[in-house]
Amino acid sequence: MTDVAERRRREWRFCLVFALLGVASFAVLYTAGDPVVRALNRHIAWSTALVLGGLGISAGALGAVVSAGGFAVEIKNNCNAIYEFGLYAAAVGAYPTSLRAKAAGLVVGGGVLYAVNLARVVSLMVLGLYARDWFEVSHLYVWQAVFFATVVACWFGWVLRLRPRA
Amino acid sequence: MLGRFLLALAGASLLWLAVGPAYAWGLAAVARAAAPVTAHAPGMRYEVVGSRVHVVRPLGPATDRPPRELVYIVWAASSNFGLPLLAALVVATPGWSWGARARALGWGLGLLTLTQVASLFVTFEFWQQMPVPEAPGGLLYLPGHSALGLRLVTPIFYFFEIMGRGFFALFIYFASLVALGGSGRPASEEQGSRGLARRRRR
Repeated sequence: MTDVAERRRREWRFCLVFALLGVASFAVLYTAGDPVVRALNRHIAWSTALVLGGLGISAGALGAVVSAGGFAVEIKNNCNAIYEFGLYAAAVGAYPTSLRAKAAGLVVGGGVLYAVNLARVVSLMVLGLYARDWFEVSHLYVWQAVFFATVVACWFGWVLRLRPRA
Repeated sequence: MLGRFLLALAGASLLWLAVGPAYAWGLAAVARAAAPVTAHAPGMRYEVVGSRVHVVRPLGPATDRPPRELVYIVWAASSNFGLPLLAALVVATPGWSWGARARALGWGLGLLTLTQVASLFVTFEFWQQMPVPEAPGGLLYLPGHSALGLRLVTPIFYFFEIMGRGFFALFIYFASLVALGGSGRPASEEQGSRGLARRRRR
């Protein structure tokens, strides 16, 4: 019974630490992250143009703006996944496990979020070029849901890999 | 669990598209009731357009023809996917009875709705504090504006706008896992944990 009480105490602590880290990661990104966020936005625009080029679509990037065939988008805060990564990092950071496991979770999860976000921007560019009517629906609804699903799946995937050893 | 979660998220997202306008109407009703406290100037009104809540704010005297009005979007179902996300997580969680899922959904969606109301009020206040660009190159400061007010409300607005979309849903879900017993525990431990909670209540 004491074990159960102790376990529940640790679980509530996880919730509290997740909340604190979530707010803290937002505060850090909001106050000090501007140069990093701008550089990341430019990088995503450049990468998107590169991937589009690989798909045979002539595209270019200027700063945080990526354009192809008369269609252009600007990579902004909600398009760079950095706050979603902050949310994921808060959940990873709050989970009671070793620093090594947390670092691995952050690296792998960060990579997955980066790749999924790149796929999101590339797909939105393709939709903007060839199926403009679907752009808004995909941008606002489909990808938002898919991205949340990715954050949750990354975290659960990481936790489920840890649990047998926990 | 992942397959069930994705399926549930797709279903909940479609349901959210259908329910969004009614939800927006409910939020607008709450906002209208609170308007005497939250609005800095008379004449503002809330309108529901599809699954969005707009605030229409008169800029000049009521005698102006045509009237000068400013329209803000203070809430949109498309920007608030926390509710379908939470619903999908609850439905997909293994090891919960349907009663436990119903309790988690009831409490979770209720609490998440409170965060939606808070988000709407914060967004409303942010747009009240934000000066309006006026030609040529000027800014119009609306009644109730203060530099300190704008400085205080801006980070809170961006927290709700960017981070809050997923943060509150995940936090409430984690709290539900703890309160109702998380997935993946041995059944005997789950029963022991719930029994302990019942004994505490007594």
